[in-house]
Amino acid sequence: MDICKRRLMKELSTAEKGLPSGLTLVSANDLTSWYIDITVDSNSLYQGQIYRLMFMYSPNYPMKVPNVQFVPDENRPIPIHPHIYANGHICLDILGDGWTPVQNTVSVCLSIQSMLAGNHTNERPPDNDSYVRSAPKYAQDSRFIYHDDSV
Amino acid sequence: MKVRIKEWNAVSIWHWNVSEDEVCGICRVHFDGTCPSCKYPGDDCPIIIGKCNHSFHMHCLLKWLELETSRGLCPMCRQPFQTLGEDEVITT
Amino acid sequence: MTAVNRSIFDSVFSSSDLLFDDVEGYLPAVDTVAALEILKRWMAPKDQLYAPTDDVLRAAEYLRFFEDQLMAWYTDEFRLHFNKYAVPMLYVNERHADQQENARYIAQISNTLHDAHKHYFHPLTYLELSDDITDCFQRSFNALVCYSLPTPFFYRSLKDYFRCFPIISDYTTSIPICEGFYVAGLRDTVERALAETAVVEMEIHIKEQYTAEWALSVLEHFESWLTHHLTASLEALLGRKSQFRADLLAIGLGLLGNLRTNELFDIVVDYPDSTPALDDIKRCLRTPTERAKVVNSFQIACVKRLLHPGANTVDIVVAYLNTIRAFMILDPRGVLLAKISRPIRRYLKEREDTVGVIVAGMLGTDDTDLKVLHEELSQHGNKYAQNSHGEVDDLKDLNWCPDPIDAPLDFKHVGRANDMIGSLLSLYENKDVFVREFVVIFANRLLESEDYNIDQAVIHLELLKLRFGEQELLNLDIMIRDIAESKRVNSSLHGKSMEINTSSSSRPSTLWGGFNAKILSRLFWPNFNDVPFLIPQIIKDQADKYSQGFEKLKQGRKLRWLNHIGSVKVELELEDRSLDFVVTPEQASVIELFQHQPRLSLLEVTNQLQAKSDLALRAIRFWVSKGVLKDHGTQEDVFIVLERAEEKTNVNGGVVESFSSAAIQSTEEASSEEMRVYWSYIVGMLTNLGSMPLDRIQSFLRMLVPQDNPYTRSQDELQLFLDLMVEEEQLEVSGDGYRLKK
Repeated sequence: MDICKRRLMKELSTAEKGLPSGLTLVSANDLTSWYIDITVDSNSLYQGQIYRLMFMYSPNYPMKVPNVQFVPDENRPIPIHPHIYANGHICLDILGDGWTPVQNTVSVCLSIQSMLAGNHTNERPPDNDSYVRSAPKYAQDSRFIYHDDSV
Repeated sequence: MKVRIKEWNAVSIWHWNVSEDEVCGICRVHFDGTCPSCKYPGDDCPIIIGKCNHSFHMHCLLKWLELETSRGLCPMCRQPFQTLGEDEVITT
Repeated sequence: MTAVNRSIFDSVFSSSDLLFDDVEGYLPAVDTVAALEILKRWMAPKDQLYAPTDDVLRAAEYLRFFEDQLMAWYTDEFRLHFNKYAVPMLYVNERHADQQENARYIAQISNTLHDAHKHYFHPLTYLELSDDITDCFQRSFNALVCYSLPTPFFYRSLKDYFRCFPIISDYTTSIPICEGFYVAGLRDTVERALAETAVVEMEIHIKEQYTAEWALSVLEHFESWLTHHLTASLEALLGRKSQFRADLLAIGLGLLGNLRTNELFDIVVDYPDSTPALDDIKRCLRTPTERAKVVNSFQIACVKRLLHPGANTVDIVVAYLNTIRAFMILDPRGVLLAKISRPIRRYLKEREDTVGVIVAGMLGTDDTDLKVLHEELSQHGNKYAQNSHGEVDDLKDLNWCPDPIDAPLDFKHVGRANDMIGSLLSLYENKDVFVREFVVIFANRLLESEDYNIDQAVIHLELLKLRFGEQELLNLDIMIRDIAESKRVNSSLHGKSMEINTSSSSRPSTLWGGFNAKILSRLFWPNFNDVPFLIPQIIKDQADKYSQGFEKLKQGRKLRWLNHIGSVKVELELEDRSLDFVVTPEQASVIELFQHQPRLSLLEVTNQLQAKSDLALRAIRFWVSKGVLKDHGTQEDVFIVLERAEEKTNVNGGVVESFSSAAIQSTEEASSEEMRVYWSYIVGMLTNLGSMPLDRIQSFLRMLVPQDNPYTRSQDELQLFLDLMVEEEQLEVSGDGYRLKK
């Protein structure tokens, strides 16, 4: 069996047993795309709000990074953050060059959670408007310049 | 009474020289099992230990290292991956 | 005609119109009166029948002038006569309990009616009466009989009579009797009695001739009997052809169907010898009601006779397989089977040992009736393997047809009655339960195999792969490979042992030839519980040496020893005898301790072995049962070596047991030894219930033994133990069971 499917099945069975706090598995219907709801109650900027993450795994997972982005919904906005564009794309090291196959769905969620938790700037990235205008559909297809490693 | 043991047929299990509970960080399968591309454990599916002391199924690590995006780094610590030394590398 | 009739009335009541319009009809009134008187005198019922005199014949020529008048008079006359003389003959005080008496009564009625009819009709034959008049007279007579006869009583007596003189055997006796009734207009009553009797006789015939006759079709025989015996006799009695046969055949098929329906459970058990009976039933089953009855009665029989704790699982599985094949004969559409099999399947699924029984059957390891599964596996291989989950209708299947109208909602095409394995595998949602069972069985067999022999396992695996697929059985593949690899490693370590031990050590540098190991890939074998205890130091040294060799050979890998698994051949030299055994490692380790100290307490053994005391105690008990150790007697929990065999235990004393028999015995008795913990339960149930057969004891133990340490022994193991108890004169065999010896 191919590594991607086996790995995802293992992750899914772990996820179904329970995820770390602030994470809820919404669906993982065809195994290759999952939706996870995320909350960050430790930061007043995001308190009480639920955000939804979409994971899309290519057959090369986990060697290749999955496409991870926020998806908007009626009551699931895109969090305001200097590294998160209004279209849901996330500018995060491990979702680009920093990816390694020991990362996994939960570890990515935890990274995003901590990225939100540590933020105190209530604004979009400076190039938000121009990026959103010309951005490809999937964040993965963008080449981000990592603005600020400290966040 | 004299007890003469004429034959002792013992049973043992083998394990890689890492903690028995550890899993390969890449495929998340026990080291003593097989990587996803192998059928048989043991000789057919060896593990590899880096100088950084991180271990993986050899096949899993090779799949990673052969990708450009890996830049030859250990998936765990993102240091350049180097094996423990010629005689210590586990190969078939 | 009207003219003539009018003239008759005129002749009686008024003579004025005598010459009315018929010259030939004219006669003086005085002559007609005389003629009437002559005829009346002659016709009046008497004891004897008299031929008419010339006067009478002459008088009869005037008949047309007073026909109605004469017949009206005659009807009154014979009615009086009948009431006076015949009616008393038709009554009896009570129903005839005695059959002979009853037969006489019936014959008497028949004769009476016959005679009466003959007497009353005798004069009429000499008179040229019109058909209307004769019919009318006949009707009057019939009405009289009918009115006079105590009908329900007569009917019952008639049926009693036929019970005594059956249609089939005594119809010749009954023919004249029936005829007596027919002339008296009782044909309908008699026919009804005959029809009812025929059905009863048919029922008797079917029951007596066809019960438990399943190896031949009986339908043809029945139809022939019906035509040539029953219908033929019946028609002789009726005195004419009848329509009865078709009705009787329909009823008969129903009766036969009933019989077979009630027998169905046994017929199924008897399959395939009972195939002709199944074909018969199929022809008898025509209506949905009959089918529903089959389903019902079979299910009731199943619950009563099969699906209870006392039944052996093998028997239930065999019965289920027979049910499948039998019902596919009865109803090839599989609807009945689908209904019938549900409770059996549910029950089988609940049984703990079902999977084990099926797997053993497939592997052909036990000599049970389920060996057919092994044959099917060997012969058909993957013929049925593909698409055995076929939940969805195959759109490309040209033979597809819609589900039958009376199919249950969850109906699935069973279609392949020969696919026994498939029907058993489908008991469970997925095949995993079987694969897990295979893993356990293969593990036991591979660990027991001597000289790393994997031939049998390889053959079995290949067969199973055809059915279960390669991927699912990967574990078995790896297990077999482990043993093969162990053999290579073992011989390599023994061959190269000189090279390995280069370190300076006082111990002998070579690996001892008697120490062999099997090395397993732990994740692919069943879980081995850790049972800690110390093996003898000399063996531990060998194991360590073996580990070192392995680590050189397979770099980066280490071994962990499972001390409690494996087998040991030991020879015990005692003062008066020498004994050979094949024992478990813990048994060997325990007896080895006694070599150094011929007297040890349980606590000492436990401490030296660093084991749990129940493990030590079981091993000690084993050696006690072998007559090697014995209870100290005065000191509790102290055991001593029996250097000289004692009378009581000296069964094998002084004889060196042959290796193979020792091997078999030791494993058997080791297990029997462990069975002793259940002895109190067995004594309890036999005390209460007297004698019990093996399978019931087995199922009682399953229920009685507390679930925290459940009873998991096989029936074979139980039998060995019970037989041992018989040998020890604790039990005795009685009939088909065991009971406590008094």
